[in-house]
Amino acid sequence: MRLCYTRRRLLLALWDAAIAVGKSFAAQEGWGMGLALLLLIWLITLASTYFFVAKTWWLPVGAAASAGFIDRQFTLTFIIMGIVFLAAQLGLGYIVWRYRESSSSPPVSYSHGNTTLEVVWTLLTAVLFIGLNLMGSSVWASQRFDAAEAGAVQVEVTGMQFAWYFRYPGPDGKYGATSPKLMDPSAGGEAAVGLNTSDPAAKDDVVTGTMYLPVDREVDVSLRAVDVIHSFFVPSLRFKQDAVPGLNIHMHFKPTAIGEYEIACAELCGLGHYKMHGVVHVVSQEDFDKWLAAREAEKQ
Amino acid sequence: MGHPRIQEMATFTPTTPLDDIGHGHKPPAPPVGGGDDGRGGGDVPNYGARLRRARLGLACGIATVCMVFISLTSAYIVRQGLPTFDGASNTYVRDWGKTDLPWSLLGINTALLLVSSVTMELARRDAARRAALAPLAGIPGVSLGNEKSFPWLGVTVLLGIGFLAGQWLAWSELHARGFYVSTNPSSSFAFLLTIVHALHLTGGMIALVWAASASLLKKPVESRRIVVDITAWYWHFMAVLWIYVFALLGFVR
Amino acid sequence: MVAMENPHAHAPQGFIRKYIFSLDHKVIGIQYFFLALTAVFVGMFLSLLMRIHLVWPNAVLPLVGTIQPETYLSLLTMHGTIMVFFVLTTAPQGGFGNYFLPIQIGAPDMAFPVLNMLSFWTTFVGFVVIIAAFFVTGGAPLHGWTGYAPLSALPSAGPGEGLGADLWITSIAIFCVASLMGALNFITTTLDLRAKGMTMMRMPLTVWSWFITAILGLLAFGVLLSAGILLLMDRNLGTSFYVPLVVVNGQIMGHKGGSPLLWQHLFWFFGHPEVYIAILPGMGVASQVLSTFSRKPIFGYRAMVYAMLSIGFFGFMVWGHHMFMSGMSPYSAFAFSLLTMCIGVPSAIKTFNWLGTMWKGRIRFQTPMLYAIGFVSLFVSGGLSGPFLAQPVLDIQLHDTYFVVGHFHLIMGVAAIFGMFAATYYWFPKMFGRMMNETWGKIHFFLTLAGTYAIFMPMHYLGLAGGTRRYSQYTEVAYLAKLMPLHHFMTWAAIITIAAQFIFVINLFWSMFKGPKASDNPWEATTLEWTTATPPPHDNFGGVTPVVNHGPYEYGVPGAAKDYVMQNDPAGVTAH
Repeated sequence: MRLCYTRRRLLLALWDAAIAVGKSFAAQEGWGMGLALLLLIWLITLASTYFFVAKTWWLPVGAAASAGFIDRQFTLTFIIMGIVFLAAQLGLGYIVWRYRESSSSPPVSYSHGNTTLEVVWTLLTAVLFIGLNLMGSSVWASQRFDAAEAGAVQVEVTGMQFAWYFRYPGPDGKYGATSPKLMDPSAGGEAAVGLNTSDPAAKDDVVTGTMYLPVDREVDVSLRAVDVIHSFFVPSLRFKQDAVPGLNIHMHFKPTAIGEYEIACAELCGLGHYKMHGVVHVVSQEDFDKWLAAREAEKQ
Repeated sequence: MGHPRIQEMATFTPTTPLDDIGHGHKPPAPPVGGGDDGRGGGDVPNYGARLRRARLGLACGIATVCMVFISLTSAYIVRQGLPTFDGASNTYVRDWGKTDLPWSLLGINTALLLVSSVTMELARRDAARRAALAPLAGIPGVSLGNEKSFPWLGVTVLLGIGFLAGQWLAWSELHARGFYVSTNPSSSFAFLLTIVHALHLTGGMIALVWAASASLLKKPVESRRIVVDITAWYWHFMAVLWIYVFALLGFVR
Repeated sequence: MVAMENPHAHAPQGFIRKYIFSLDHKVIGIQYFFLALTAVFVGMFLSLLMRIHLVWPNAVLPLVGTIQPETYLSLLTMHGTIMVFFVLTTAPQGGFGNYFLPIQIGAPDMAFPVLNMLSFWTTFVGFVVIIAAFFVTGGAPLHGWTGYAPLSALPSAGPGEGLGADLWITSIAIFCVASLMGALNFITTTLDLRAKGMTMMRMPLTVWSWFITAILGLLAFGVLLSAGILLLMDRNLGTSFYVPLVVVNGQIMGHKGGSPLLWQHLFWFFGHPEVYIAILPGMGVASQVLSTFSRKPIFGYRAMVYAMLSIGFFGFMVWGHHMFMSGMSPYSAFAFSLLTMCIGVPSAIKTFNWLGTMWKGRIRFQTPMLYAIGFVSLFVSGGLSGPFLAQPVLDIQLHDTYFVVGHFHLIMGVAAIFGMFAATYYWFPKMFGRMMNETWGKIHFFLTLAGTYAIFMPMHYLGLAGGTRRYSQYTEVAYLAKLMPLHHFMTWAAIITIAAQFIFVINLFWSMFKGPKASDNPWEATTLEWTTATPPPHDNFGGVTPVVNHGPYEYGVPGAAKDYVMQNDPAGVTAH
């Protein structure tokens, strides 16, 4: 099928233009290189920004009490950094093209700098960065400086190569003793965490491989690890904390939406790091009570 | 012919008047500041510059060794203080332990090292004096007495060997008392700190031996002086470092 | 080592003294450069295998067969270690720094040439040791370049954690010693060997960057050495510095009471200055090249110096920002976070000043300039993801995800590399006496700039969506499996970009032998290396001691004869 006359002319014109661009591309002088740089930098900048703004890949929907603030802080940081990003990159592209050397460009503006400008932009940057940081610090404080609310659900999360175990202390509210000598990961459940069944406090401890939590109630998590460092990460609940052997780390959060949320281990722990995952089921308070009661019953 | 106005000049520096750029064919001002790369005049090496340079290099090396010991100290303090979680009791427990260090033996070693520092300093000053007098030897009619001065370097080497031997005895004594590297954290650090110090001291010993034998190698006396000087400062640093390690093991138990 | 006699009295004869155990800083610089070039190709090959494994896990590849899951983590570990140590700490500092520091300050050589030679060969031994880790029983370690204990301290915690891990630690320890020797040399040379008239404030910014980098190295590598020694002791002597009572696969390990956080503190106290060691020389080169090719002085020379000094200083105070999620005290997290935001300020100042240098300049687009411009763009992109990670409350979401991987690759893996490309194209004529091919240089630049953005920008999206890092497969967790299309895109981008690097290598070697001969000052630049012959003679200045009368970036001086005034030009003296 022969192309019609106009199309052929158009293609030839495009081809000639491409050759011309290519030629001035390789030349020292000419608008080619400056323009090419501007176009590439602007294209990369605008394309990257598009995907951020469109939230094509974004934070999963937040299902915890802290999500509101964290997401707002994210958005604020994005907007500010986004403006700086666009200004700097688009500015770079523009400057590189605008001040290209050619036979018609004016002599350079000989200058060693401008003290006032330096001071101004230093102060502005400092205020911006530090201000942003201080704004985010109140949620950090409430999550990490303060203890969990009274009446929080207690769960102990234990990480080991390559699974998560969850222990509920039961009606007595106390965690029973564990011992390394009693640990047997291949047996799963109580044996995996080395529960000392002769300890009276351990009689009502429930150990499971899945985590159930009641909605709208604070959870007081105790994080432990048996062998190497793991990290308990539930993106939807905006929660992450390393589980470190030798430590028992207390952290709290409050799930606010019923659903199932995946756990992904977030600290390299060996071969099976990629498959060390679990699920958090956030259910109503009564469903949670029923589930826990059923687990207690199984122990008898 | 008008010159374009110079815009904002160097940040924080004064504006350069146009005249000084040589337009009025003024002779250029002599260079201000900068260094003297020690090339000296012609073939005569500038020993003063070389000494300064060597001392500067040594200062850098000492800074690094300090960082090694600072980080080991930090590890020491952290390890001593940090407890670990015990699942059986649901509490945090510490396990620093204790080490029965042979204090009198270590005290003798300390004395040996301090004395060696004194002898080393005497050797250093002696070398400096000889190097200062060396140019006079070329003056006809002047004869520098070839009197052999006291072999301070040799004495220092002996005292250094004495220190290392003493440390070896101290480690054997620790073994005899049942304290090995892995017995408890306290003993781990005791061995670690003293062994790392001893290794660095041995490096200094090798330099010392080389400095002592340099006189046999017919190197110019000024060059030998530089080696002795650097080794001496390093040696004093090793003594100070030892006092520090001694104090850490002794007081931060 | 003290220079006992003047090693510059005679140029060495004989192949061994001239090319193998040379004391000439120029030869040593080239040796470092080629070591780093070898290392970067090894590192790139490892990353190619990683990217291929992630999207085509069952592919059968020539030479390596199918990549096993356990191999992936070893590839990851070795890629990081080789790139950070043997490329980013070797080429900019040991390579270009060694070659050009003495010349740019007007000295005939480094302060301690024998030490210089030793530091190169020690680095080389370190490289051999780490490569050896691939070939021992169990293979290379799988604990990541960060080597967190207890994973790195327990031989039974995974394959490769046996002899491979011991070799890894040993190699790093050897590298520490080599770096310390080099740092000592650089600092002494800069302080003591400057020519007459070369005041500190007339030194090129490249010299400042090498000087500050050397100070950082001097203070940081000793800490890594200690950390490594403690790790070796835990692994082999039964001590418990880092390992508490742990149970691996049902077996109680013989350790008690140690602290994994201790390793992290020691490692990151080194690790954070290390990343500034990796980037500062690139910043110096960017300043140098941007000024030369804009035909304008660098905007705010003093501010640039103070900015680099603050970056170095603050760099020692922010290590905890790698540990927000580690179980460290939340109060210290707050303090580290604030200090980290502070360190963003001097980086921003430098960026403004680079833009200010080009503003109202006359920009020439030879290849070194393209890379310097690319450096600025990449530094902005990589740097702006920093304020996200610096806020602990946002780091909750982003720590250990691809967001972090994207951040540090854009800065270290691309911007710093662009600094090295800029340095290579810029100084190649002086080093080898010939010009590199401009057309192929430009093609290499455009492909690499677009390609590296294509590889590393999507990592930010991945991280925001919760894409965890160091996973050898993304098939087990449902929300991660959904992100595979991004991985496919990045793998294709990686394949194309890595292929494009062969253009550079071919250009490099071809030009060394067949490139057009270079004049003494092909870029019309002002610093002292361009005043001497191409390539420079053995004592750098052919018996003439340079005398410096001007600052380093006197371009476009109104009323001057040419549009640049060389530093040693006797006509006229500038006040600074």
